[in-house]
Amino acid sequence: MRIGITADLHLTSKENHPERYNSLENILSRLETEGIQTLLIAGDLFDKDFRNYSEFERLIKNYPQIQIHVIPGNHDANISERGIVAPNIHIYTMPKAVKLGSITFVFVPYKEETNMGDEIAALAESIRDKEWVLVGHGDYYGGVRERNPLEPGTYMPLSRENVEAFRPRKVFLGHIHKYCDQDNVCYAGSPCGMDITETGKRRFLLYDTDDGSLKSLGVSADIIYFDEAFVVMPLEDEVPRLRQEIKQRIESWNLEPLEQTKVVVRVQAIGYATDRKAIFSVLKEEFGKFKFYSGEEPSIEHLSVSTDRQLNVIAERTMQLIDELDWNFGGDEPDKQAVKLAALNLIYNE
Amino acid sequence: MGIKIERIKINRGGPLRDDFNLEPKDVNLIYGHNETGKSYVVEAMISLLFRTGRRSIIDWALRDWEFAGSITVSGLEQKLVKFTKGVNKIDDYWAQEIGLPQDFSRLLVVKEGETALTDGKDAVGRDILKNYLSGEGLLDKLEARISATLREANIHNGRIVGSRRGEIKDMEQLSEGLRGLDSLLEKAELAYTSGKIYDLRQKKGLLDTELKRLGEAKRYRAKCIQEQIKTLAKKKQELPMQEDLAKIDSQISVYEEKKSQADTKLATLKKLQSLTEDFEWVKQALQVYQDITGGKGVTRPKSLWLILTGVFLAGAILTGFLKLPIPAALCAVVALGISLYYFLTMQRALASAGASEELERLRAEFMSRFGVELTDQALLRAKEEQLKESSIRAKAMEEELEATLSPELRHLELSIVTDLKRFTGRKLLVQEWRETVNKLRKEVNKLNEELNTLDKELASLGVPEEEFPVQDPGMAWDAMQYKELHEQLDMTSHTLDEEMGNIDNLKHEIRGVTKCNNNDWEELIGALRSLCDQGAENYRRSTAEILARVKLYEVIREIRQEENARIASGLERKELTDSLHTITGRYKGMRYDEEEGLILVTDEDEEYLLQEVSTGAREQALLAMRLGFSSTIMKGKSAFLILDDAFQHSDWPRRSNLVDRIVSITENGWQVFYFTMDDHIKALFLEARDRLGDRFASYELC
Repeated sequence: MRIGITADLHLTSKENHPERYNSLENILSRLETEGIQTLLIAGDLFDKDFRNYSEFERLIKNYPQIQIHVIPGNHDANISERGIVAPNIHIYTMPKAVKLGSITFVFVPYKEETNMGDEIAALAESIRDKEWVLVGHGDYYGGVRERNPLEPGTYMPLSRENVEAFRPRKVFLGHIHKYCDQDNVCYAGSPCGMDITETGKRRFLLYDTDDGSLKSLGVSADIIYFDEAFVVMPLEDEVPRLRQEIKQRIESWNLEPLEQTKVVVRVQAIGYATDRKAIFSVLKEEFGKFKFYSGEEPSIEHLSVSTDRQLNVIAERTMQLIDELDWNFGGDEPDKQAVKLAALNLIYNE
Repeated sequence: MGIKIERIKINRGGPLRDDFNLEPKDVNLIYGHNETGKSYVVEAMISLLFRTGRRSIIDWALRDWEFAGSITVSGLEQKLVKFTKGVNKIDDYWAQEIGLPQDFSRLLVVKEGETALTDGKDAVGRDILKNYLSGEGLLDKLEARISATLREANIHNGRIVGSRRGEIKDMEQLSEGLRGLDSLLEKAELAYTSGKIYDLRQKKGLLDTELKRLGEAKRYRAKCIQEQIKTLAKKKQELPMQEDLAKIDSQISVYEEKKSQADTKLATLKKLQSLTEDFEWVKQALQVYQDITGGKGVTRPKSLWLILTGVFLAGAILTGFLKLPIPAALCAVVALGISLYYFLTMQRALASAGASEELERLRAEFMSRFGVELTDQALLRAKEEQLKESSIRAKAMEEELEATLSPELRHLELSIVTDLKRFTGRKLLVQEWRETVNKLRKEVNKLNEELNTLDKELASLGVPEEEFPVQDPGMAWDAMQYKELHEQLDMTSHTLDEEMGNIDNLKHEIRGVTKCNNNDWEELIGALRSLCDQGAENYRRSTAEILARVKLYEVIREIRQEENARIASGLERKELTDSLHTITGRYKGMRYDEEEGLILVTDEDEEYLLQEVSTGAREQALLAMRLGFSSTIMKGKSAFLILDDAFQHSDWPRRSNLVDRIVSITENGWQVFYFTMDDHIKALFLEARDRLGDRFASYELC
């Protein structure tokens, strides 16, 4: 049996955010095409303080053959089957073990000031000696460094020790909007970027309960956000260099032609240039085919000017050495861009 | 196209009596005596063209005059640029537009005859050389931003290798701090999510429940014991007390003793009674004996008569069988007659012979009783006397037994039998007494033991009666299990307390680190994570700074090596050596020594330290370098020179060379403003006027 999995749709009114409904509809229609009859939503189906579910009801009634299993998240902790009227929705407001296909799925709804381990422990009898899958909403304390940038703090955590103790076959969590997969724990991610902080193409998951395989499928979202920064060095060829870098960056987005029309970008140049105006123009020109986020223009706020040729030569040579540096950039260590910026500030700032 | 001053307009002020207006040519001589405003004009030009004051990297040492006017310059932009008192200065163009050192202005001005480029001992200094020949001064400025620690550091195998001090120490401390925070965060996350406390609480709850059930079982057990005790106590009441048994025991003993006495006496009595019987027999025998010994004797019929009876009877039978009736009848009659005769005879014989048989019997009996033959009546009499005493004793003894011992025994027996019947329900035989008492004693003892055990058990349970439960809790009381569970509960409670203590300590530590006064895990972990993120950011920033500095220093080192070579070659440049030789007429070149400074080399390859040559020679050399550096830096382009009494210390022959040199550089596009009060120098310039034509202008200040 194959099951679709998503989370963190944060539906509000369709008028305000039609793209979120469209992402859900895209997932449902894909499931329908594939003949898949189950969709799990790992929390935050609705945004905070949103109370009118009629648009959602209308949407899912169009897919009566798809059973939608939902757990409340920290944003929609109060949802229940009394509030959402549709024959094909199942909302788990209490931890519950449910058999779907050949596997027992344990649905653990979000609950304040508790952790997932305790909730699972209470269901220990239901999962004893069984193959089971956890569906929850919260933080994973297992080395996943990703956090929800919109929500600092900690939310109904699940620890690696819990996973080792209860030994689920797979864990599907909501809360972190960016897809990530570590150990046996998988964040489905939001199928539609909420804002410019949630960049890149979105996806949903297909899980096969028979063989345990997991497949990631792209969601055809209305909006694809990208937030790009370019470190500029004050060189004679700074403009062609920047153009080249922009080209490579856009290629790395790996977008289909149709998807390019959905891109919303925020771009900025940082560092030092001989010609700020030209840099600004290049950014505007190269990204002009996309929509700028909130009508913003490319930012050159952190781009300074330097015409000191000697300094520029020193900067260029330093950048080359940084590029060749024997260093494990990123993660806990600074990334290359940060080292370059530090060097540029050191060279150009009095 | 070079940089040229197209117009100078300086308002009068200070010692300058009139406005100074000049449309300069290539060579411009401004002549004036003391106090005519020559220095005023020089300083006004400096003030209008160059950055002065605190923002200037050159200390121009201007006097406190307020200048007004303007200087129009060409060659900086497409159009003319007019410099006034405003903020826009020609220095801004050096670096930004033309790519010259920011202190390039220093080369363009010799103020009040001071040709030295620096205050250093050799009037030039390595900085100037680096600046104007290599740009290395900039490297020093950048190098100054890099600490000694990082200058010695390098990056090897993805690690920063260097002394543990300064930034490296700071970075390591940040790293250690971050590790500490990460570890604390990990502990906090583990404490919050591991469920250890939850498990312990669950376990404690289960143990509590189990113990409660066992407690119920204990109370129920107490209730059962008490009921058992009651049952046994009731049973005990039906059994004799130990005292009762002791009394019965004692009575039996008394009975047995008395019975023994009675039996002994009875045996004696029996013996005596036997003698009494002998006495009675002797007494009767004596009577009989006397009677017998007073009558006649008796004769018995002969046995032949019996035989004859038999023979005739046999003959009768035989003849009867032979069917001889007459002989048979005869024989039968004869047999009958003979037997009749025998009977009658015997009857008479017996009647007469009784007395003697009686005597015989007496004798036989006497022999039987006393073992001696009865010989005469005297013996009987003696025997009678002898037995008479025993008879009396037997009688007395019998009377005694009947009167005392037998009633006592009967009384005792009745008492014992009655007592035992009370406890056994039946009348017991004497021989059953002891066994029954023992049995009862055992039974009582056993019951007492049982009661004692139950009492002890009940006491050990320590359950007050009012706590006895009504219903069976469905599990048996097990003291061992209760003890084990209690131990487990104690251990679990202890571990839970310990864990809670650890949690409290951990929270306290986190509160201390984060300054978050909340006790809620989510808040504390959130605050700690923010701190970790901040720590990680600080570490990344610090590391980025170090990496940037280490790499920048590497670049500086490389460039410095390249620039050292460039200084050496710069000093050998034709622009410089030509200028030096032309102006000094003696020195063909110069080199730089890190220790000694600038060294001039003569045509004869003699070397002289610049600081040790005469004032005039140094003035010429410096002017030559100024021109040479300017040419070098400008890379073929030209600008203007403001020379205020630059040749005043040179001897007269050299002055001519100097003026010639000045005139010759203007042929390459340079523009010269020479201020002097020296008539000889004025004359030398005026001599050159013929060669310069309209490229020469002079202005005399009055």
